[in-house]
Amino acid sequence: MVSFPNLPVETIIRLLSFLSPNELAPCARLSKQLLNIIQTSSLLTYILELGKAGLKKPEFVNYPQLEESGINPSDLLTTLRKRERGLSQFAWNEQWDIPVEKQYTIQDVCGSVFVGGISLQEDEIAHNRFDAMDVYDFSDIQNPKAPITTLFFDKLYDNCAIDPGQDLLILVEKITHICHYKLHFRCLSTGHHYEHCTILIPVPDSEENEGPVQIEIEICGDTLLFRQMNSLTIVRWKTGHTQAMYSEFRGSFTCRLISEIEFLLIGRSVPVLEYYTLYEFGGSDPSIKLQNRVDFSLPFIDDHDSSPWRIERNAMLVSSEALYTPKPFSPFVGPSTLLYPSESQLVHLHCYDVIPTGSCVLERCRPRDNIDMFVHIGQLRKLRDRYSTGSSMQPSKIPAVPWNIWGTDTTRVFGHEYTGWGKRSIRGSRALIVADGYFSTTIFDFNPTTETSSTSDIIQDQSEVVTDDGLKIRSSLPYRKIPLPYSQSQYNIRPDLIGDDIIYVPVGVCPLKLLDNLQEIFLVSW
Amino acid sequence: MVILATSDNEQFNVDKEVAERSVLIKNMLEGENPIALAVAFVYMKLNGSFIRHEDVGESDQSIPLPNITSPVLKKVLEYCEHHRGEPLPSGDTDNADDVRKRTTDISEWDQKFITVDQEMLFEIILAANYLDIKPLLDVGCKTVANMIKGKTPEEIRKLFNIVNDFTPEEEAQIKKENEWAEDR
Repeated sequence: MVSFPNLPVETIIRLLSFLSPNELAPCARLSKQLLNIIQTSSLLTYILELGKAGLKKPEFVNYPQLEESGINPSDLLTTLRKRERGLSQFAWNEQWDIPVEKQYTIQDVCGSVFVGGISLQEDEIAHNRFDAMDVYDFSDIQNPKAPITTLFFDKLYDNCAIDPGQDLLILVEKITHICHYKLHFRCLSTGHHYEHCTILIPVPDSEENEGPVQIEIEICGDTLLFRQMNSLTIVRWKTGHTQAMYSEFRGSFTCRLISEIEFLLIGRSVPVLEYYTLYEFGGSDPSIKLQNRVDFSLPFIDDHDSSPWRIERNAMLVSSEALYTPKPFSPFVGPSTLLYPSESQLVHLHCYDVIPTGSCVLERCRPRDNIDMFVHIGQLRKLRDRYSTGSSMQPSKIPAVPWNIWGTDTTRVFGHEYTGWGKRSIRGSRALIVADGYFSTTIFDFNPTTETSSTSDIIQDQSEVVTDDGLKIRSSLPYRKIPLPYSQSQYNIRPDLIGDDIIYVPVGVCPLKLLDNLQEIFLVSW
Repeated sequence: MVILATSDNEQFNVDKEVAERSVLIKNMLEGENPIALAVAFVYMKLNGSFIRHEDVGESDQSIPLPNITSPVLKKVLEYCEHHRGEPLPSGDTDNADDVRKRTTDISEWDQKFITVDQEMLFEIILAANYLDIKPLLDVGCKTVANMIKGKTPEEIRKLFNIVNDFTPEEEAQIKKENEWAEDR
């Protein structure tokens, strides 16, 4: 029996997009599923935003073309940004609230792709809150007369075979001479897991005249999305070709040269894959970037245990793009992307904002060094030492990272041996948010300092921490309760996203159920 | 002629021109468009019936449509038959916008065509989505949208058998957020 709620999500979005804002609003009240669909669709959200602002829905059921509507680009960015719900709600810290206008002129995104409705320069944490994928191609704006090509998620949706839990097909419709497609994926609230990803790249018409076109595809984002993924196909197609040209790369998430078009996949790895390639970028000049490229392509190894790359595969990588001060016209300006190549194998998840914006750490960590540092745990500790000296960062910006929790040299932090790490041990945690289903209820700060709280707030000698919803956590540590800054409904987590091993949730919101399997959560309050 | 096989193993002999209202089938028949191949490829994988592109072509082999039952396909083909010869909406952005630019108006024939029970309506939408027949999909979507129009949430829920899984507090919260829509 087919009924309205079990139509494919993209069909529901299509269907609802025919409604006016006033007609759409009641639909958000029908059920949680529909509310979620509406909230995660940028198109529908946009329609609602129009209604909220008292505007009529434009004739066309699509985003306004910039020229038609006379919106100036920075306004658009602001609008887009506003549309990203949750951002302001989660802005616990002013630091996150980077004004887009300040970061970006429209020229800054020329030749690059604007992703997720939020500037690339912003912190990865910001990205982590988005579950839709928006790809905005502003490359044509270099020629002011040319219309701005805008690839929106909903538009992509039309061209996508998206079936949650199955495959993801991305069709890149149009490319310009130099494109950098940066696709950020996030599945936090949509719960999409993809087993297979297909990316279709057209061969540009101008190729004959202008030589090879360089296309870079950078896939980053949430590993949750990719944890089921076991193959990636990149299809290069040319209209009118009689012979299909496609290659499938199975069991590998690296990207080979399919033709003269060069594909770069950056630092993306998937638990089930043994293979990834990390390209390192340098600076704002694309030519320099190529020189500095470091290939981290790892050999395929059948035997996991004997693989010399074990640690590396499980290590936390920080993409080198984070190490560069964003510069105008650089396609590689990016957030301090934290990549967890093998998230499902992680029991500990440490999130550090390694490169706070504008920090002098940028100068101190050369890309090579940094990557090495993150590849080897021993060297991670070096980094820790560097941080703990506080010399290279402003003390106020140092997150209260429990550095002392790093194991000894012999402890495999990212491996499978967790000797001495008890289940639900919460020592060292800075803040733990326990959520029940949709709503988080309580934050406990297990590492209270006198700066953050008065001594009277700190509860000592209590063996059990009881959250508002009755969860008991054993703790021998002193802790204090922190009231949530927002109403409960603003911490919206879908319970079906709760994985077996670890979940990476924004602002340390941790679903209750997760605690059953999780050894430790380290969440850093910023 | 093209042979289409439904999930209940009924075979339909269809004019190529009619069948090609479905972008999915059209692309499969053309077999030279790599996008189509990839789409077909993905769909086939989704359906568990993986077909290499060599296998797809204008041959006497039937095209399996494992998602569609014969009553639904019959209905869909009726639509395709009626609209045969009309220009297919191209993938061109402007045209696509054009199609969507229109409001929820539905042409008279389509209106009549889509006057079916709810189950069939959703089946048609699913089939149109699967077969990639955008105009039909839009007819279906518009019809549902028209059904939603002017109704209260409670009425819509009743209409579509949607279970209200909000707590009263949550619902009140959402209602409050959407207050602007009340004073229309």
